[in-house]
Amino acid sequence: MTTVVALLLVGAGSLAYRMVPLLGAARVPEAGSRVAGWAGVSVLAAVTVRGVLHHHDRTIPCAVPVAVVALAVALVAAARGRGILVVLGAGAGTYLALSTVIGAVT
Amino acid sequence: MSQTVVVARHRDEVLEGVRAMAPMLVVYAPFGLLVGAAVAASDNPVAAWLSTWTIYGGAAHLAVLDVLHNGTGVLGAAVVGLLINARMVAYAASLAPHWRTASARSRVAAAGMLTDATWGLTVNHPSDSAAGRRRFYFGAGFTLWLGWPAFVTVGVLLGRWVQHVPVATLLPAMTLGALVVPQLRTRPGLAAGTAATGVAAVTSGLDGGLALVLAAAAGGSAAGLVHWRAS
Repeated sequence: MTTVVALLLVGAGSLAYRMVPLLGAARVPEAGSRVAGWAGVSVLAAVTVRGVLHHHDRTIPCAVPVAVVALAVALVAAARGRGILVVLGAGAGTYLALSTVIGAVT
Repeated sequence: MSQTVVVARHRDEVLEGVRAMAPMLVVYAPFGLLVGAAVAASDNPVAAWLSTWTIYGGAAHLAVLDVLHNGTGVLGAAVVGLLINARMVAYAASLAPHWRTASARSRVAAAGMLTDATWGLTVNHPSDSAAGRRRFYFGAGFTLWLGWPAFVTVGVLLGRWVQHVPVATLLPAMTLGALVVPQLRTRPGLAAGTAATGVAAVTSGLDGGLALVLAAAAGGSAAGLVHWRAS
């Protein structure tokens, strides 16, 4: 019962978060919409940083620095206008190469 | 312009959204499998699976199930989930100008499909009309709306293996980072990204929902300040 109530609360709240600004789109001022866009970019940046800083990999001793380097390579590829699969290939490839080297050395 | 040409152009805009989202599905697959594994391990797998469509955010879904699993209770789980998904308000509000002339039904449908990747692809899409952007949004959004629950469902059955492939859990972060990059080409966007990155690094030990709200506030304020000083 606890699980159902919690999931219902979060589900209803999440739907309201999405629906209220869109259903009341005419009342959202242009400036508010612009600031919300910057807040959205900020959230995506923060999710990216947290995803890397909280990365776990039991097979290597320094998973977070390796993840940071892999992310940097992926972002450089993205900045050069590469497609998402190339971006991820570059990032994941860097991670796998570095973790293989580190695993062999340690 | 003939009706056939208009219909073909509209279809092309929807298909453009589908094509933009298709590679994202590959990326989101491991994350969906992880969420599916958490759904299978929950006290009520059916309720946890059904909330895939209402919560519609892997991070919030995982966090709620994790908090419940650790016995923190309804209130704690709800607060964590609602804080993590609070970013949807910003996403929806930023899209509002493109939906002012749309029907209520299509706005409700759009709200049901809104999440990080759909928003990120749409704001980066160089469409010259609100209607074109909406068609792109529906193409991208509907693709993920079908794909995400499918991955969660498969994850219920065999999601545990993803935890043994560490690089797979890193892919969503790389994807979202790649969506941020085009926004950094404007000064307010760069200010937002820089401030949010700093705040996220400093608050990495905090609960995810609170940290994201702080990052959004810092990034939004920094970008607003840069925009205000420039204008």
